[in-house]
Amino acid sequence: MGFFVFGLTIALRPFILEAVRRALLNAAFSPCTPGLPRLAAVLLAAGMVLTAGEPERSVIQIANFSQQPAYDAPWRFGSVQRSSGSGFVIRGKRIMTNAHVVSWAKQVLVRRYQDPRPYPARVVFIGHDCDLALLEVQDEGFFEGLEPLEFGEFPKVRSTVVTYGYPAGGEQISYTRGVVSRIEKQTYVHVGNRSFLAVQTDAAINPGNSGGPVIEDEKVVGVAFQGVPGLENTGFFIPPPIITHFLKDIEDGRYDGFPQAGIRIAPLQSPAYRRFLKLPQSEVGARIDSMLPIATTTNLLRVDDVLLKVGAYAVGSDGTILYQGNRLQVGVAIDEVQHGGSVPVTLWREGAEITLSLPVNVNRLDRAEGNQYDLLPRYLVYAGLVFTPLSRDYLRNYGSSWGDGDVNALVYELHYRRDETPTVVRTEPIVLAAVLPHAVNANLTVRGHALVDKINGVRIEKLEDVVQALAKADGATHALELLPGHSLECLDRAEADKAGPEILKTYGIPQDRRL
Amino acid sequence: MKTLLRGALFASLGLLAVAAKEAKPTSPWENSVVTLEINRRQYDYLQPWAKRMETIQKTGVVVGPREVLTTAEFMGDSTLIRLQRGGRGRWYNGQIGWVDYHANLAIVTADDAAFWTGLQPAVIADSIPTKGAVQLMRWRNGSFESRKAEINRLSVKRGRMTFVEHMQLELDLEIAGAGWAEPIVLGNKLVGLTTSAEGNACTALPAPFFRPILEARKRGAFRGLSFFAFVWQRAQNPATLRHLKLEGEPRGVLVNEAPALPDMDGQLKPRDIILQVGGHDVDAEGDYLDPIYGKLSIEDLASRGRWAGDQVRVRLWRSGQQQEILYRLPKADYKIDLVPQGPFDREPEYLVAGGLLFQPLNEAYLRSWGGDWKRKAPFRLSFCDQEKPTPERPSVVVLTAVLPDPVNLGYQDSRFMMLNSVNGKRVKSIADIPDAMKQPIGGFHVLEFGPAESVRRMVLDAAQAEEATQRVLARYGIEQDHVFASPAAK
Repeated sequence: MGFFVFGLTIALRPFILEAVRRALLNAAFSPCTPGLPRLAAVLLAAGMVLTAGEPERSVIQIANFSQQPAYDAPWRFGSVQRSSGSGFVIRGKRIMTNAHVVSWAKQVLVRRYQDPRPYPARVVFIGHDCDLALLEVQDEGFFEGLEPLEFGEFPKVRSTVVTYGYPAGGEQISYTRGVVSRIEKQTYVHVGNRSFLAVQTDAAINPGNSGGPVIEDEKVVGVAFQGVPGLENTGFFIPPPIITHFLKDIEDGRYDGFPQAGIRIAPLQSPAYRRFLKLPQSEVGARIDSMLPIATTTNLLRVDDVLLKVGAYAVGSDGTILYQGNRLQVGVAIDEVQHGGSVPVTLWREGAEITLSLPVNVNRLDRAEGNQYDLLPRYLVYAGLVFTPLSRDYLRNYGSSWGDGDVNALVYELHYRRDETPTVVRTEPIVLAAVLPHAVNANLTVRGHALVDKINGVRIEKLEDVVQALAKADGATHALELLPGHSLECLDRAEADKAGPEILKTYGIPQDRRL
Repeated sequence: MKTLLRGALFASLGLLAVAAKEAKPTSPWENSVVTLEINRRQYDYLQPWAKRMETIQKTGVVVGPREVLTTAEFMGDSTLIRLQRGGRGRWYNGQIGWVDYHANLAIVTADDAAFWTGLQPAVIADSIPTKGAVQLMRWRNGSFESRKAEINRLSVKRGRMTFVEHMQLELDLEIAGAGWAEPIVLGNKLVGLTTSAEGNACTALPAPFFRPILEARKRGAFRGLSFFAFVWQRAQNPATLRHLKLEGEPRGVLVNEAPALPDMDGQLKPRDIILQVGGHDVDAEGDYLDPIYGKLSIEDLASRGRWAGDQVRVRLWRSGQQQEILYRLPKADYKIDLVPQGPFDREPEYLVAGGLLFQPLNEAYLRSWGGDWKRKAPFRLSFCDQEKPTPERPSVVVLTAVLPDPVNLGYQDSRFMMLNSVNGKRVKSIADIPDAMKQPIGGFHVLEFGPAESVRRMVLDAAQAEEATQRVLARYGIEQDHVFASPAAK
């Protein structure tokens, strides 16, 4: 595709949008977590004895009973879903698995190899960006006799690996052998707007394999996590550098996430462009095409700076580095650094080389552009009007309505506004998600799916502004200005205030707000 | 629905010609309804220099001396028009006498007097019913068909070839495959002209819409379709009216956007409430009471019987006071949209420079992704259709493809990117590019693209680019490096 960023958000934007429209919402990749197979038919092979060094003993079956909120009715939860995945024991009496295996968990149950007992577990760390999580089991007896699996080196292309797990279609552990066929950055579909190193294997990685270890020479070289529907014998696993980064990140007791430099680079293979930048014609150097508005980055870097080296890696003219024998996008070098750290960078600027230390931090500006988990959506219900932040999760409600004018306006606001008109970008765009029918709002012509521009003359930057704009009103009416179309909708203020409790009761809304 | 003629069909029609002369008309409409064959250029907007031909058959109805009325759709880019009477036999060469794409109307004429012999102009109805049975007339396979149709309703909605909302007739047909300008008749009067059909549901231009246009055209008074340029919402919310200090029952429409257009007086403002148009009270649904047709959208008051430049008296409520203004109706012009429909009767515009292919963004280009282009075309391009032009951005120019050549090495995968400037000069139309390229920066062309594009800047060697363009044209079989807005050669 020819271009990318450190930290994927901007680099993927054009692709994400098309993918959002055409594929990602329908899971172009799919996390390998099926509905949990019925536990009733657990089979134990009595008398089967495992020898030390057989990793299946440390492979865990995980059942997650989860409940997700409805983003267009954010006080409400969907039905309890039962899903299953795999995990494995690591040092410190913890179980590693995928974040998507245990997201939105109400209860997590884990089972040992050939043991019928379910043990309650809890999520102690979860990294949604890298799709990894760690579990603890309250009953320490769970770990008796289980050897933690050790992590191995980055697997090489063409090496043979074995995936362990509990995929759908049976209750017994499954082993699938495959060859490492490709190593490159992939979109991690759990969060949807980040990409990191991923290893492709031709081992069958099926729903339920998620979180299971991928083993080479008795050591874990990856965590199985996603596949491509329709592509047979293609699975992906998370390799050791990402796992190691996650484990290092949580050493301080908190997970921060993968940082970004906030730059988008473009290949520099045009001889003319190289001459324009007075850069020798060679295979080295990729150009900074644009930057996120991050002061630590914009103060140091400029558009058309040429990246010659990042960390220990020389940057190729196609924007790749040679990493463990593979040519990979240069962002891989940034992914080695922890949040708040920095990376040495050698640049070509105005005909000369310079070296500087580039700070990298987690980018939280684009959180709403990705899938969000374990964080209940914020909302306010006033007079039956449901206000909630615009997010990818909210837009997913529209499903096949992509292409409709109002929806596209929201897609633009979420994914393009920040780049195209940064001066008018809102911190947290708020949508009027729905209007719960009641006499007080019956005459509104807009019934939802609109961006809130102003309320009572106050420009709405975030949900708290809605609360304040409604609270501070002193006229007889509340005036809402909505986009697209600049429509004006008014409510009788006294009637609206009075109707609130009745509406909450009618629609079973426990609280009028979650801020 | 499109009928592509083949040689065999021509041959069979020829054989039947003698028999047709002897046939006795079963309906007087046989002497008014004719068949049209339009041979026209069809462009592939993904390769805008490539031309193909297509042949369309549709229907027309004689409405005056040497005048056949049909719809304008598929008349654009025509190279040869032929007419046939009686559903079979000889074809007569014709030409477009008048066309208006916004109104979706065309008059076709033929020089050969023999064609007109015995043909009778249809009588266009003054008014039409809003329900009940009518007939659809057409020639099909040499036979005259009179098919039942049922009027569902008269509506005011966006036209098939325009953004203007105008009166349309919705019908149920007993046949499928209509929508090719077949006349809808009631007794001996023409009440409509079909424009499209989906299954048995058909839409037609109603006589009350096109009769005044044709009459004004004859007088030389038709200045083009007009419309209300403002965007409005229904004012049915009493709280909103109270907020705007208008007491009493809900009425009128609330102006939300009043874009400035070149020929507009600019009298309307957002949050005006329009209470009356042309002496008609406007209700809270945005309808007025037409004395013949009942409740119709106020858009009808701009697009039927009034033309561009006409003034209409508007009573409005502004800032707590009633006012009256004379609203000058703007002319329907495709340039009003950032992504215009069409173009019609023009070759697609493009520019090849250093192997980079630039095209103006228009609906014809987006239709390259099919009828469902709003979902299937690249999001950022299709979203332009929801944006308005501004003085700084009157149109969108897109790098649509790169024709690989050594001069553009490194850019060969780039496409669908909106061009902002060349060599520091803002590109407002595709014709700006050659001028901007006359002033390279230090011997280089620097091209800047939109901030959300995958690559924001490209650089080409100016001297090499000029030389490469000729090489690219030769290698890719392209006749000329650019086509800018000029009428297509017939």
